[in-house]
Amino acid sequence: MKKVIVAAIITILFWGMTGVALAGPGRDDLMMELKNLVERQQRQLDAQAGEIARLKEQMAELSGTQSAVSEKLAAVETEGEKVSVSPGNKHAEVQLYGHVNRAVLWTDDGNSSKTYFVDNTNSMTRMGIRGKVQATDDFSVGTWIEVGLTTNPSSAVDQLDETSFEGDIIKRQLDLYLQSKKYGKLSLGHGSTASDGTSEVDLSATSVVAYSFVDYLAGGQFFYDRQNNMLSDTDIGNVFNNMDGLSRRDRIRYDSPSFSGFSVAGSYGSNYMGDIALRYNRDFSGTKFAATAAWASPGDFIPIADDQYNGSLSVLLKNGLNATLAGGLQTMKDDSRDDANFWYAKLGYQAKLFTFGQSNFSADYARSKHIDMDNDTAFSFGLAFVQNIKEWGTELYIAYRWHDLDRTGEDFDNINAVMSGARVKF
Amino acid sequence: MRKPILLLAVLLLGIGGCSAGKEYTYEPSSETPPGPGLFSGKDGVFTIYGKESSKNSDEQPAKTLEYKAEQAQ
Repeated sequence: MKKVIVAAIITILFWGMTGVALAGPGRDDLMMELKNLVERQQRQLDAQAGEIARLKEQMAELSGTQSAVSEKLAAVETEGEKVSVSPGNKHAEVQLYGHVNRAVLWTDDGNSSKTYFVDNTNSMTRMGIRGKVQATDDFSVGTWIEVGLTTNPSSAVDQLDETSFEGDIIKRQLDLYLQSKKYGKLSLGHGSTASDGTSEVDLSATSVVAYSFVDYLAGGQFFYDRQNNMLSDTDIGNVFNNMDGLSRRDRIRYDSPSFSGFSVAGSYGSNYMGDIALRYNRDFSGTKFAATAAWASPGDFIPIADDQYNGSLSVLLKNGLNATLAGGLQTMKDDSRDDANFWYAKLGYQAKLFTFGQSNFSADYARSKHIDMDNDTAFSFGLAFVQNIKEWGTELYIAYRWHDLDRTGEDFDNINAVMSGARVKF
Repeated sequence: MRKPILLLAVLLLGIGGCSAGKEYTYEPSSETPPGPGLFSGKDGVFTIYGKESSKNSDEQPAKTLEYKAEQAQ
C-alpha cells in the first residue's frame, strides 16, 4: 500500500514539473523548431519521390531499348538464315577458292616487237569448289570442280592476232574421289592423270612465271625466218615440250598412301592411255626434297608417240638456295623419227628482303630436241623474280626469257620475251 | 635417255627406304598457292559450310552474339 502511495506522489510531481516547463518562456521556440523539422522531412520525402519517378522513367526507357535490340537481333538472325547455306550433312565441308593471274607480255621476234595483255598460262586464272564428307575417321568422299577462266593466254597470243582468245572456259577438274588413310585414294572423272606434274616438281617458288614448261610464257610467238624475211609457221610451242605426263584427262586413278614420303600412282583413261608415277617428298631438318618419275603410254592422246618417260627433282636448302632438274623422252611410233627429248635445269634463291613477304629469284635453262622435226634443237634461257605479299595473297613477278631454234637448212631469229604481272589469290 | 629416268626411279626407291626426315606435302606453285587470300583471309578459302569456318576463319567474330548485338545497335 505504501508503494502505491509513493508511486502516485512521484507521478503527480512529474506532471507538475512538466506542466511548469511547457508553460515556461521557451515553449514557442520549441514549437517552431518542431515545425521546421517536420517541414524539412516533408521536403526530403518530396525529393525522394521525384527521384523514384525519374528512376522509373529510366527503367521504362531501358526496357524499351532492350526490346528494340531484341527485335533487331531477331531480324539479323532471320536475315542470316536467309542468306546462308545450310549443310544437309553435318560432316560435310565445302570450300570455294581461286586466283586471278594477269600480266603484260612484251615480245621481240628479231623483226618487230609487240605488247600483249594476257592471262599468265603458267598458272591461269581459275576458281574451284572442293567438297568433302568425312564418313568415318579413316574414310572420306569428295568432289572437286575447277575451271580456268582465261582470255588471251600468254602461251597462245601471237604476232598475227593479239586478241583472238576471248572467253575461254577450260575444264580442269571435274572429279570425285574415295579416300582412305590406310588404303589410298581412288579418283574418277576429268582430272590429273597419275603422271601429271611429274616434269614440274619445283621448289624455287618462281613457278608462277618460270618452270620447265618454258613455252607457257610466250608459246604462241612465231619464229622470224631471216632467209625469207617473213614469219615462219613454227612457233615456240611447236618446238618445246616438257613431256609432263598425260596432263588432265577423263580417267580412273589410284594413289597409294605415303610410306616414309614415298607413294605410287596409276591411271587409265579414254583412248587407251595409261601411266604410272612414283613420288617422293621429304623434309630433312628443314632441307626439302621432292622428286617424281613416270612412265606413260599416251595412246591416241599423243598420236605420234609410243611411250613417254619423264621425271623431275628439286631441293630447297634451309638458307633458301634451291636447284631443280627435269628431263623426259618420247619414243616415236614411226621408226624413221628420232626420239624426242628435253632437259631442264634451274637454280634459285629465296630471300627475306622485306617484312611483308618472301623474295624469290631464279635462273633456268631448257633444251628440247626433235620435238617438231628431226634435228630440231630449241634452247631457252630465263630469269625470274617473284615477290610475295603474304597478307594480301599476292605475288608480283617479272621474268625474261630468250628462245632459240636451230633447224637444218633454216635460219630463225631469236625471240625475246618479258612478262610482268600479279597473281592474286582471292 | 631411259637410263637416267630409271636411275631416278631407283634413286627414289632407295631414298624412300630411308626413314630419316619427316613427311611434308609438296604443293606445286603453279597451282593456287596455300596461305592467305586477299578476301578470304588466313584460311585462303571461303568455307561455304563445314567445321573449318569456325576453326580458322577471320570472320569468326561475326558469328558471336556480342558482334551481332553491336551490329543491331
